[in-house]
Amino acid sequence: MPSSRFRFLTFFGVTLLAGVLLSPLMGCDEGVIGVLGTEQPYTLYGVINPRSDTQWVRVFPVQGRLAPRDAVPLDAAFRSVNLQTEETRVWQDSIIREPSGLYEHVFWSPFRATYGQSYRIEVVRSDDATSHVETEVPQDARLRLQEPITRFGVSQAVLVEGNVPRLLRVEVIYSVDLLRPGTVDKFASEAISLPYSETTARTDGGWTISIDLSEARQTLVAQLRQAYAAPALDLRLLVMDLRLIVANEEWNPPGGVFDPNLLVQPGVLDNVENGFGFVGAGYRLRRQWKPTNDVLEEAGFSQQTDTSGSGPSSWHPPQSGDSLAVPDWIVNVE
Amino acid sequence: MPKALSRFLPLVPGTAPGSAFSHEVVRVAFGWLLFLSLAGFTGLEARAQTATLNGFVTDRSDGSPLELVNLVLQNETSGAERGVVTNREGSYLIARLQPGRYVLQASFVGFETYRDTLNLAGGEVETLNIQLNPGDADLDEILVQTERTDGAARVTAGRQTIRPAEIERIPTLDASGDLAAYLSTLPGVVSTGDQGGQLFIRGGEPSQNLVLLDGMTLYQPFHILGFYSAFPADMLNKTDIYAGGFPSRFGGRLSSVIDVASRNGNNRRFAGGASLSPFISEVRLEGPIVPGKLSFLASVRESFVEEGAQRLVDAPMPFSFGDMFAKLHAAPSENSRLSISAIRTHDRGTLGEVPQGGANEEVRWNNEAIGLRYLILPRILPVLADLKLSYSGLTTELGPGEEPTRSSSISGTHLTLDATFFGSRTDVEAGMELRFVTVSSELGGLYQNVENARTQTDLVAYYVQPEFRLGGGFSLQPGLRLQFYHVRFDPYLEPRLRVSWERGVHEISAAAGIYYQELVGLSDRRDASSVFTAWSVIPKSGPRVEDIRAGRVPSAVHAILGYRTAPTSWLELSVEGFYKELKNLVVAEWTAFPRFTTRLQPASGRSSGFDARLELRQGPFYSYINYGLSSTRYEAEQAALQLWYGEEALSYRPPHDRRHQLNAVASTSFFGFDANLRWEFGSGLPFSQAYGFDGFVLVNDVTNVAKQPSSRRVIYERPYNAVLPAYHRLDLSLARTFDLGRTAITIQGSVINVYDRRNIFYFDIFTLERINQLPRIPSLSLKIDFE
Repeated sequence: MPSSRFRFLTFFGVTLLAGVLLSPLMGCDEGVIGVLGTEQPYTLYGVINPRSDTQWVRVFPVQGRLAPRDAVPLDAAFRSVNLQTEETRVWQDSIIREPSGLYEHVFWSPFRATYGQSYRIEVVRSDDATSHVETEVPQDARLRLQEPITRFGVSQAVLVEGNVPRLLRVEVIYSVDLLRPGTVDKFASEAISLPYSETTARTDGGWTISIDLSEARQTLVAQLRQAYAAPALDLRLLVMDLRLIVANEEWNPPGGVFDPNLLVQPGVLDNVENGFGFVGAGYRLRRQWKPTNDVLEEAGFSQQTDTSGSGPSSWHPPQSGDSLAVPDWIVNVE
Repeated sequence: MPKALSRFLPLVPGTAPGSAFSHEVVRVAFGWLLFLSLAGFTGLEARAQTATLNGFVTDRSDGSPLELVNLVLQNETSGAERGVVTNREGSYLIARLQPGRYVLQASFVGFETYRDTLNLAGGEVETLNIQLNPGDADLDEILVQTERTDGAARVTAGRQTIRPAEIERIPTLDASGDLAAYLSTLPGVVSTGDQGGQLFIRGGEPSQNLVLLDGMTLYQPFHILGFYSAFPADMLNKTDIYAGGFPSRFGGRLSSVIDVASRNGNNRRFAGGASLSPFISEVRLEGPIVPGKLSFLASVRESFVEEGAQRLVDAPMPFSFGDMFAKLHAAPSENSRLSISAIRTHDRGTLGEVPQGGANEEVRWNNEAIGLRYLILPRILPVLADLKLSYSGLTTELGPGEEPTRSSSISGTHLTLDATFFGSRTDVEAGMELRFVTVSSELGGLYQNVENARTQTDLVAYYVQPEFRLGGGFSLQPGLRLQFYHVRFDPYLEPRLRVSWERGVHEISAAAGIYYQELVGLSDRRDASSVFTAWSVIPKSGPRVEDIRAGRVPSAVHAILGYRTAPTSWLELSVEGFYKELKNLVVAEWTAFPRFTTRLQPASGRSSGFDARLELRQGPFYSYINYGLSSTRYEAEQAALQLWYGEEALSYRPPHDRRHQLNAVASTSFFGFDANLRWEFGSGLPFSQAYGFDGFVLVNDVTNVAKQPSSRRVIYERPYNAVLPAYHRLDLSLARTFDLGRTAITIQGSVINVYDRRNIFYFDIFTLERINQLPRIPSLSLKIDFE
């Protein structure tokens, strides 16, 4: 067996050798490049709305660090150009404080965008790095209700008159009273939204939205029975409220769904050049009405009159919408 | 009777055929039928006119069981010889002996050889317990097996056995070794380093490792300071680690098994020890309660990091941890052994920067487990039966102590009955397992698609695992495990196979198998440093039982092929390749939101690579070098990937994919000192680089965007597109033991991270903060052992 002296020298030698071999590594400090950086200066979000007196666009600088921003003006010059009239507007910076406490920037300009015209928006940094986007405002459109068809259930079509490229978030909010079966005994009132984006179809003059009232009633009953754990119930329809967004061609989320976990990824619903984000154009249309009792009865809704005198609890007069000629088969229209 | 147990056990009159309950009855009946068939088969053998000899072999000095003792039985008339080797519990069994007079010889290195003459009558099962005296063995003995089964290069089809003496060769911060320090030297084992206490074995995640202590499941047994676990070396008997290809006896995990066996307390005299260091202190006591019959072993460790070590280094070390272990071991009869083990651990700490105003990202976890084990060599059958009943629990919390933002717990009762049926060339191991596990989480909102939930999952499993010794050093161990869940009639079938062929100094081994895991640990695996783990049962969007019914539980296929040789007595080397195919994994969904709490997405994965080990033993000089090359890739199947990247699946390196690992350990002694050296190297772990940060507003309406809430956003490059700097560290220790008769005092000086390498623990992409591992730490520790 080797002596202690030999083993000591060997161990000492190995340690020394390790030290020599590792000496280039000693104290060496390899950095980590976490952020690669980008030449794209800004991220923009907003919608040019021809029905609004003021236009707003959120502007986020693309930064190298995820740090709270101070409440100071952004190094950005913001302007918009009407590509048809070449009218140029300089937008104003404003700072908002979000509920999270963060300071963010919103640029705004007091003008009403014109239907059917395109706008170029430019945001320029002091070093001339520019993000820009062009967006076209859709044409004006109106809603027209068609006469319901009461064969094999009840179908109600609504026409969107106007050559508009896209409809988004088409929904009908049904305001209903929940009745105990066979009675006028209302035990609750609800307003429930059902989506109709899937039942839109392009026509020569615009779009058609098909609403199957019988199917809607079945869906509402199923949802409310589950929500109230009620084995059976009747529904009294108070009002139908059709809401939708008329959007330009680019405002087209994948699958027609606004899923933040999907859209947050850079490059998805992204139309800003040399930057990130999305600036669309569009406006809302809304129509409220109540079908006649015959139509409602055909669709399966209860026609029992509320004798309590309390009236519907969740329906309020319409706030806005398109004015239409009132056909005789519609009651309670704005 | 517990409600969970009633799902399986009672046979209620009027149970509707075809109902879920009748399915349970059928399953249990099936299992017992399997058992009884095997027992009956061997029972018939026993009833024949042959004899059986069994018993336990122990160390006379302290009563501890001796494994690998060679027993040779020679018939005085015919001269025929039969030999066996004792197992982990020190038990042996030689069946189908012709009646007659025999000479028995039991020998083991370091002990005097035992010889006895005995008469065996036909139809009898004779129990002979042997106590060996420490001393020198005769050199001319007939050895059935002379080779040791442990050692750094001694790997057979993914299995390695670790003894306390090897653990103590790893330089650590105190004079007592710890299993965690040794495990981190193994190739294919990626640890989170000095902090975190997470082990990734051959591409698997920490929650895919099955860690057992005396048969009790421990869910998170590694302490927050990476040098320590719930397994101090002086408490251990041995540890079997299966880096893959584990046999049918084990189930419910995808990646690996760490099977730890504690030693028994000294049943002859009292002994104990205490150690003190700036990091941890320990007190251990053992001794006889009824000499020779009943002993105890108790160990308590408590960290002193905040009070002690933190003052040695100029860095905050907000870690506190400790563990308590106790074991009673009894010999209620000549042919049986009973033990009760209990353990409790606690950990608390903040990983990374401690925020101003308090440790609001503090993570805490507690393990507790208690288990009973009854080992019997029945007088009527040539069988070794092993019954284990245990309860295990883990609670984990994240956030302020008074009001954690997230908490998760898992607890379960576990019953196993294993039986080994011994034959001359074939042993059959079979058993059943009942597991009733409850997981509950309060996660402060949605976390990994899992809301607050309390779920119970029950499992009954059967396995059979014969081992055929075919001669010529060839051993074949096929196995089949059937796992039933109470929501599904068809069992999960898990075929396994382990093969080894030993010829001279060479051994070739292989293993393969299919594995399922119904309980998954959900973590924020954006980087490998995440510690908080929420346990859940198959988290999918639909009803969870549907996933089990449909077979969509995480599964793995393992394949291992290895070669080992010992060309000289002082050199041993081995090479082992592995491949793992992983399916139905759940991984963090990719998102540009700057948060660690994300939703889940399905994924598959594969891991492959090889380990090379070289071990040198020459007198007091001991050294080994391990190199591991591995590659792990996950393929995420998020629906949006096609849109984001134009690919249906996103293939990436998960953050624990360490490509190269090298470990060198050397120890020797000189002038009464024991010196240990360790150098480890690990190539960089993947992380995700970003182009920058901006904001995100969901543009889903024409309303004024000033009124829309925004969130911050990370503009990532591709996921895990970059690697962090490599990790390497040199540790040294020098110890001197002063023998004072019945007391030994050890003084150890050690330096961890000798050249003060700024190893990275993790890089916070959101704050660009780099969190480093521990700096150079000198330490002086004292240990006293007495008996």
